[in-house]
Amino acid sequence: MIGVWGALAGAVVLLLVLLAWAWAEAWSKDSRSDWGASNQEPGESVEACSPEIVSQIFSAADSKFISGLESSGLENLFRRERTAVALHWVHETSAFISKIMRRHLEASRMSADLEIATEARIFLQYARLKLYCGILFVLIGLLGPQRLAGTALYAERFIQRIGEGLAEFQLAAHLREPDGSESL
Amino acid sequence: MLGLIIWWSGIALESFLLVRGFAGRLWARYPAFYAYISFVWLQSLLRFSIFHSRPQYYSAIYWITEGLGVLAGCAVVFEIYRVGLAAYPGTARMARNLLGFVFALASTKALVGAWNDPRWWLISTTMDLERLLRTVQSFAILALVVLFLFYAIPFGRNLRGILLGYGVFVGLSVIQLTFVTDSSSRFHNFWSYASPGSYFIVLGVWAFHLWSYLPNSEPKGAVRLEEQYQRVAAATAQRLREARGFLAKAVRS
Repeated sequence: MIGVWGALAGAVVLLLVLLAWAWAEAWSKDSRSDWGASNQEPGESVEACSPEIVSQIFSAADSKFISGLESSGLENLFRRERTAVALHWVHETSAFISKIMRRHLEASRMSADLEIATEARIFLQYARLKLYCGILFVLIGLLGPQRLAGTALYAERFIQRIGEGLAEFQLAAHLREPDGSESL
Repeated sequence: MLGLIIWWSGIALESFLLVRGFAGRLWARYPAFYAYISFVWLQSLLRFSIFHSRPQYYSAIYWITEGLGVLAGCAVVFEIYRVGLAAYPGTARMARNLLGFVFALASTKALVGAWNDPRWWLISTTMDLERLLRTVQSFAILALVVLFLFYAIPFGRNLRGILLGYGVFVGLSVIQLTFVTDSSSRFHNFWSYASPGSYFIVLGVWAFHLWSYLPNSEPKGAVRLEEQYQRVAAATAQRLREARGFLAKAVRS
């Protein structure tokens, strides 16, 4: 029937999840509801970096200019600073994605006509973006930001598109007036 | 002696839980859970009396009540889902699909297994069946917990206690039913104390969390909706007052 190891694995995972949950609850009493607790009203826009800024951060033009000055100290300093800025952008972008997802979940948990396929698609896109951010983070550290301009701009455009889509979805969900009283 | 102390302490704690449930009117809020606790309480008393008066029937009584207990436990899982997601139709829908998937997967696997090995029905014991049902329950609870955490469903203290206690109980039951098949093994001796001991802890978790009724927190959306309604109602009242004023002026003139 259900294999012995499958049953055991399920039980152990359940116990670990429950323990982690109880532990987390004990340490943060008021975090209970609040990965959904954004203070912004629905429909209010959340801003990410503009594509111009992103292309500026990852642009090779500044690097070429600094290289033209033929000062290795300045070049090192520039590279270090630019890498730090790019990593900060990745970090901010990742946080922005999480924020969009939080707001989406907050809206969708109240929505009576939620579609499983749409939810799964949104979650996959979210996971994909998070993965992009992780990969970008590692690659920026390894290769430097200048060689990743294309990837960064692609990620930026993708995030903007999803952000807009989710904002529309959220607005639509709120316009449908969730009554929260569907019988189970 | 230790076993006897744990046994009696368990019965005492179950009684205490039931009394608190009546006193705090928790019965009306969580009927399936308290029906389950009542059943377990009666079961403990029955088993205890049979164990001392007619030990030859103990095994049969044990497995019959155990089977009924598993079924009553399914009602507890359903109640967690019903109460926890009452205000969240979106997540409730997701949970229905997820639980349906878990049950469909378990049934299919069981049917395929039985089809491939028809002797399974003959040689399987009550313990195997209980393990199977408890495993399905543990997967259902796991799916629910993951969904609750993913959608950040706020929990009241009562429901959190029920879920935490029952989840731990089911998880430990599966481990026990998987390992403790040989009654002469050393592990069996260990579990004969560990199992009632852990159940005692679970009862403690329930007693702590279900001391009095504490409602689940309101979803933010509902609060916003209420605020919006109050705003609209105030604006309408204001306009009605103005209209009445205009009407009065018109009548006077």
